[in-house]
This record gives sequence, C-alpha cells and structure tokens, in this order.
Amino acid sequence: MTYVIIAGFFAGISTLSYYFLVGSTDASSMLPYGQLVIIYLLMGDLMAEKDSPTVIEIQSLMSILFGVLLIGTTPIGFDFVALLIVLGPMNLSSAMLTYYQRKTKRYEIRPGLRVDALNMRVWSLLVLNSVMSLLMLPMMPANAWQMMAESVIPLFWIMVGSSVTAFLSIVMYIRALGKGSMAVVNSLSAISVVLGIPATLIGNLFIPGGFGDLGSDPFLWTLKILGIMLVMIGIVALQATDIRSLVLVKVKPMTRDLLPDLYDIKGVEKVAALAGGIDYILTIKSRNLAKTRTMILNKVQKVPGIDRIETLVVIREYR
Amino acid sequence: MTESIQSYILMEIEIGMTDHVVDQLRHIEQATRVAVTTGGYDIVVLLETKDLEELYEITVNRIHKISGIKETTTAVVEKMISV
Repeated sequence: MTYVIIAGFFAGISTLSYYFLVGSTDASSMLPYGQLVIIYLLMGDLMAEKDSPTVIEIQSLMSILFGVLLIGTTPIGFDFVALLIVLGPMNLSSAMLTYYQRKTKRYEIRPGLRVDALNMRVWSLLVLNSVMSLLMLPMMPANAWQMMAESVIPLFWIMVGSSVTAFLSIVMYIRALGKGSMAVVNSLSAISVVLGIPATLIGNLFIPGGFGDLGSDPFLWTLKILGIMLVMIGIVALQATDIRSLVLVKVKPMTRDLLPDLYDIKGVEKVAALAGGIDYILTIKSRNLAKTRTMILNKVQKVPGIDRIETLVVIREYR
Repeated sequence: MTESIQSYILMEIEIGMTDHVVDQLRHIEQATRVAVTTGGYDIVVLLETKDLEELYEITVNRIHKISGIKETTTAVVEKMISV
C-alpha cells in the first residue's frame, strides 16, 4: 500500500509539471517531452544492475536526449525553463512513478495475492489528485477560488471530452496489449509522438491558439520535426531489441518450492511450475545474449536445489 | 477471461517442416503463444484451455493430426506467476 501512495505522490508532481508546460509550450512538444522518462528508467536499471550498457542502449539514449533538446528550441535559443522542467520534476517523478508501480505489481500482499491493476490505478489517481491540489495551493493567485467557480460551467464539457478520450485511449492500449507484446505496442504507440504535429496544426484550425502558439519559422520547424523523429527512433530501437528465452529447469529430489525464488530474479517474466518431466519453465527477457548469461542464467544457476537447466532461445514468436 | 488450465507443449519437428507446423498451430485458438526456439526442442506452444477435457481434445484431435511433428512433451502448468 505504501508503494501505491508513493507512486501516486510522484504521479502528482509529474502531472503538475505537465500542466505547467502545456500552458507555456505548444502541444506538439508535450508528447516527446514525456518520452524522456525512458532515459531515466534505463539509467536507473543500468545503475541497479552495475552492468555496462549495450551499444543500442547508448544509441537510443542519445537519440532521445538530442531529440528532446531539439524540440525545445525557440527563436532565441533553447527554452531553458521548459527544458529544466522536463528534465527535472516532470520526468524524474515520472520515472519514480513507474519504478514504484513496478514494485507494487510484483509485491505479494500475502501468498498468492497480488495487487490488481485497476485497484492500483484508482488509488494512485486519488493520491495524484490530492498531491497535485496540495502542491498547487501556494501557487494560486488570490482570486483563484472565484476564477474556478466561474470557469466550471464553460469548461465542464471540455473536461468531459478529455476524460472520455483519455479513457478510450487507455482501453485501446489495454486491448492492444492483449493482442501483441508489450514491446510492439509500446513501439507503435511511439508513433503518437510524431502525430503531435498534425494534431496541433489541425487543432489550431478549429480552436485558434487552443493548442499552443506555433512559430512559423521553417528552420525551427525543421529542427522540431527532426527532434521528434529522433525521439521516436530512440524509443522504437529500444523496444525492438530484446532476446527472449525459455529456460527448462529440473530440480534435485527433496527440493522445496522454488517458484518465488525464481520469480525474484530480474529479467524473469513468467515462471510456471509444471507436471511432467520438467519441473519449471521460466520465460526470460534481456537486451542481448551476453546479458542473458550474466544477468539471468548465472543467477538462476545459483538457486540451491537446481539439478540441470536447458535454455531455449526463441528465434520467432507468434501470439 | 483467463482459462483455468495452461500447458506447455514442447515439440520436436522433422527437418524442413517447422514452417508448416507453425502455420497449422497458429490456427488453433487456444494456442496463445507459439515460439520457434533453439535447443533441444524446436517449437514450444502455450495452450490455455478451460479444463482437461478440452486439453485432451486439442492434443488428440488437432495437434496430433499435424504432419511433421516428431515428438511432443506435454507439461501441464501447476502454478504460474507472471508480471
């Protein structure tokens, strides 16, 4: 439960910075800015494992970082305030949010009982809203309450519209996850980063200025588009490189239940205890074959009670 | 939504028949994952069925009718933890 509260706290900070930025830059930059969190997560993972990064990770990292910097360009140079907010509170707290969400998902409240995803979302939304409101209190001008009361009615339909669209997009995302792998779905949704531009342009036709102020300098536009493409390629490259393997495990006689020990190893996606000639099957995933050995297989082989393992590397997978 | 019996079928395939077998396996709705792998087995399938009766039906009537499979080892999942 504490993890959920902490996760919600960070979600609050991240969303607040998001709203801050939305007010000052244009909509087409917001989507790519949010993707910077991948860099933090990646670096966090690398530091936790005390392992050296692979070339593809370094490449994607640089690609995303440079992309974000390019997007933040304005006629007078870099928009430092926006960039600082992106680098600091927004993405740092987004990274912490994801970290704590992961911890909650893998945490066992009691044997066999894990946290339900919907439950987790609802609780973190509650904490998110409380935290955001609390943090905003010192920043509100004196007549804030009056402004809020006056704007509730006209903005009501916009609120309903945005809630419905957010809801539909989450539902579609979950359905896509049901059909394909997480990596594929996340790479494809990276395309949404590119769609920010046409959406902003079309949106501004209907509601002038509603999607943020766009400069019309073609040089800046080229930089922006290049930046967005860099971010997108960085994300896709990262999601597309992974090696999955199935590890068949046989244990020695008189061995206790190894299921929780095996599941605790980072990189193990699924563990199944089987009836039949084999005792356990692990589904493992890592960035390349070398890391499969050092990060996962070495740890699996250290679990006491294992007699022999056979690793099957997946060369093609269908769902 | 999740079916209650899951089982892994590890198959050894005759030379050259892997693509054909994979195509046939993909038509089976209960085969949620079909993986071609390196190592002692050629294809690993994850089947999700309602009960053992359905598992029997799929293995005997659908899988064992696919040409090109040399040997299968079926392992029923007793317990699975996943992300």
